[in-house]
Amino acid sequence: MNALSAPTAGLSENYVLDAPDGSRPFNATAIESDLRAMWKRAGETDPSKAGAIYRAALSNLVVPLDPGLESKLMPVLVDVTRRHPSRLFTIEAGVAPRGAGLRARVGALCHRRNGGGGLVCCEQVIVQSDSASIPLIPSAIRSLLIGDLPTVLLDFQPEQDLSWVSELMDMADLILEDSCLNESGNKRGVWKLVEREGSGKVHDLAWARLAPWRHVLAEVFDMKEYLPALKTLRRVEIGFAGTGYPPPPAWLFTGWLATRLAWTFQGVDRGEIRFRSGSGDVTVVMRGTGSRGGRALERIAIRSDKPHPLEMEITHKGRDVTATIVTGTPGARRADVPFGYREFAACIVGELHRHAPNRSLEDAVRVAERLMSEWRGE
Amino acid sequence: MSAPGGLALTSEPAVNPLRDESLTLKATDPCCIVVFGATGDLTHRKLIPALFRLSKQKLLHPRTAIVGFARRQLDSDAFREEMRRTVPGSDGASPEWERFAGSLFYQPGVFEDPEAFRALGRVLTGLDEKRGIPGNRLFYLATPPSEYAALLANIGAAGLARRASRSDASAPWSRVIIEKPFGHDLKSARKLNALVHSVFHESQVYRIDHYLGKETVQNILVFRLSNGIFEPLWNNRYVEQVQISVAESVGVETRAAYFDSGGISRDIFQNHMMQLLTLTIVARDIVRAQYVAGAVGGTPVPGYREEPGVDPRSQTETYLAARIDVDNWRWSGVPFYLRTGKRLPKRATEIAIVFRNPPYELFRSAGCDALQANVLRLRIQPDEGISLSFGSKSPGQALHIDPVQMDFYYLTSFGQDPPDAYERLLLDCNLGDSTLFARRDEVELAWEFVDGILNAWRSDNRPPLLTYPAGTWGPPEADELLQRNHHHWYPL
Ligand SMILES: NC(=O)c1ccc[n+]([C@@H]2O[C@H](COP(=O)([O-])OP(=O)(O)OC[C@H]3O[C@@H](n4cnc5c(N)ncnc54)[C@H](OP(=O)(O)O)[C@@H]3O)[C@@H](O)[C@H]2O)c1
Repeated sequence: MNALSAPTAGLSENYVLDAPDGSRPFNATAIESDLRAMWKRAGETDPSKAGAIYRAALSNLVVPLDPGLESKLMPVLVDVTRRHPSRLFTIEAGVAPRGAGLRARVGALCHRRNGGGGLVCCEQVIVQSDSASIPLIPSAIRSLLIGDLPTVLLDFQPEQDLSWVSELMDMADLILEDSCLNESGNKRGVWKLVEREGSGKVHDLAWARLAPWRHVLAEVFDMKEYLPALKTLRRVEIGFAGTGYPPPPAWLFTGWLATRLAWTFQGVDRGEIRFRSGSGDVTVVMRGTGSRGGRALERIAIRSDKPHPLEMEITHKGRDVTATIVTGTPGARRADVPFGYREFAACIVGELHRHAPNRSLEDAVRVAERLMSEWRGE
Repeated sequence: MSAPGGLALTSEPAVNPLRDESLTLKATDPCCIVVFGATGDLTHRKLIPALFRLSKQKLLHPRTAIVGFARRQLDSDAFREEMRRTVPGSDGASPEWERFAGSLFYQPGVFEDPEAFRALGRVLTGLDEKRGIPGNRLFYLATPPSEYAALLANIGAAGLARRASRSDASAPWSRVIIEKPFGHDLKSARKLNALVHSVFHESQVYRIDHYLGKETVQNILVFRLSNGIFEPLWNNRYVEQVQISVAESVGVETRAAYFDSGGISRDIFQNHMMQLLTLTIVARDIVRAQYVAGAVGGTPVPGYREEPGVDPRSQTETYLAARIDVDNWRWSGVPFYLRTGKRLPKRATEIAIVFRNPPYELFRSAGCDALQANVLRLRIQPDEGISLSFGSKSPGQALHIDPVQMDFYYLTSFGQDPPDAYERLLLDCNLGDSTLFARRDEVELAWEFVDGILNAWRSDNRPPLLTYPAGTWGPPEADELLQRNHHHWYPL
């Protein structure tokens, strides 16, 4: 797709444009001039065809792109730049053939404005390296950051402790992690990072995706009828997609419940986690439902004892915009309630707009960390 | 589940530990919102859609109840159905709508009937009990102002306007939102305020002008006060003139009778424009005009007097331009030019702040033409944003200075439209934040100013009613008003 060297095509929606020379050895000055040339040409396209072109950036978005995740992530990133225009840096570390060194090319991601009338374009800088040049990546990125805009690192590298990624973390104002991306369900490094750097700087997208679950459950207990049953809660079952070891959201959810309801941890026994509440024992069980749905939660069942008995199950699947609540006790009822499912890009942008530290996440993470080590008998 | 009808009451205090701060942007109080005039246009077009969007975004407390009150004999189900038919995004049985509809109720009654208000009181108490609402009330007067007197008197008589003691933050509150216009002159505004105050304390009164809920109007304040490079410039030393324009391309649409009795001075000048400029002002020069037939955006349109419902001899102005001097230290000597009109070439609201040129025109000796002033434009609608123009040397051997522009578009920068003004204002009222509502003295001051003009017009020196063809920027006299000071209107 070499649209700029074919001026008749002009800038159009969602086009990723390569600079005229394509990828070339990294040189910050040359890249900036490629970008300038790109805008100059864009400005020369006939506005009656493309409409006015706006160049926009609210942040520097730095994304190490693991080759395994690239095809999934690129459409998400395009959507993120539509919702939150940014200068996007995608980094493909170690993919270039040996001897290629550090290379880069530029492009633009363009979106038609709502209601028509012109394109909003974001710059993209694609950095590739061979394995020997990986350590040079952070300095290359640093030389191209737009100085007065915040730098956001979207860290989706499954591996931990890569020194070049740590260096990127140091230069970032905000780090978005996803504790779900590690399939073993154990990317605990994310939570360590939250504890170390604070939840103002490090956000876990797995937590953001839990928000609708927390909403639905909170809303159940907004009803005066059910509120007292929180005090006599005895058993919580958390069902997650897949099988095996519980994924991070299950731990986070348990951590959240335990801190909100002031339970104290008692121990782990045959796959069940025991707590003590003000009124007695509480057991939390986490189980895979066997379905194919990533690492998402699919079911929460709760049971409370007398004098405020309650039996209730909340289920949600995939991208549904509703969850189903079925109550057994005190009376049989079934209702579909709104479930704020959000696309991945919307989740990411939601986090970009949240600046305050997140006390609930910090508390949940602390408990979740402890539960996981106890579970493994560490 | 979503409509918790018939819930048992418990004595437990209503604190839900799962509703933590990360789940809501702001913690709104559960309350009964009573909309007087619930079958009217404003309710259909603005209020219920705004409340529905707030509910979808989970910004309304889930126990909120919305009670419509109007003359028409409807029951709650018929009211829900009527709202479902008109509110965007409510068609079909989306769970979001179902949940929201479960919080809608209707009580028929006429505003003049005290018994209807006692019945309303009983409905509200019942909803408090059923939904666990601690007695908070938000009354929205979405009726023509002619109804306010009966309405307020009966709200008071039925004991619905309880004044919460200000020292007790946990006591239930009641608040009232009043729609503009706030009177039709100073006298009626004072009378209305006195009436409102016979029932509510000023701290309970929220006078809504949706202009103030607009993100870009709020942005004016943020822009001015939080940007170190602009804040010091906001005075007569650096600013040469200010232009405020509120242009509409439409005519009077269905509001001919209302408009014809007040004209643009009351319709837009008093409320919206004065919100953009709440200062002590002394009138100088005014141009009034009425549109005659012309074409707007390629479509022929009739003259004002030919519009349905308008008196064919009407002397009502549809265009007003004025030069105003602000009588305080900061702005003395800086003319403020205001213009507003109907059937202008396009719809646009903006404030242009024109800066003085540097005292020493260094480049004049180099054969450079007169410098163009720096202009800061705060665009309120459409295309909300801010732009700044400044001079730059154009490429080439000769020294030419051309104006270039730096633009900030709300939409392109933030990738989303700013939220609707009514949403923001309803939320603020629930939260007890009256920053974006008009205070009594503010309203009276604005009327004092407009009254001054209107009174002058009643005497012999009433400016003549000029005309302008629809689809033009007003009469040439409006340009002359500025030319006297070697100024000109900045194009919109
Ligand atoms: N419409 C807008 O877009 C808009 C914009 C900004 C401000 N406003 C302001 O908002 C207010 C309401 O405007 P609107 O256009 O919505 O008015 P409207 O369409 O005329 O509605 C009037 C409402 O009041 C009810 N009503 C009138 N007299 C009554 C009485 N004696 N007893 C009981 N109910 C009575 C009507 O009920 P029935 O239908 O049952 O008779 C109807 O629900 C006005 O102050 C207006 O200036 C309106």
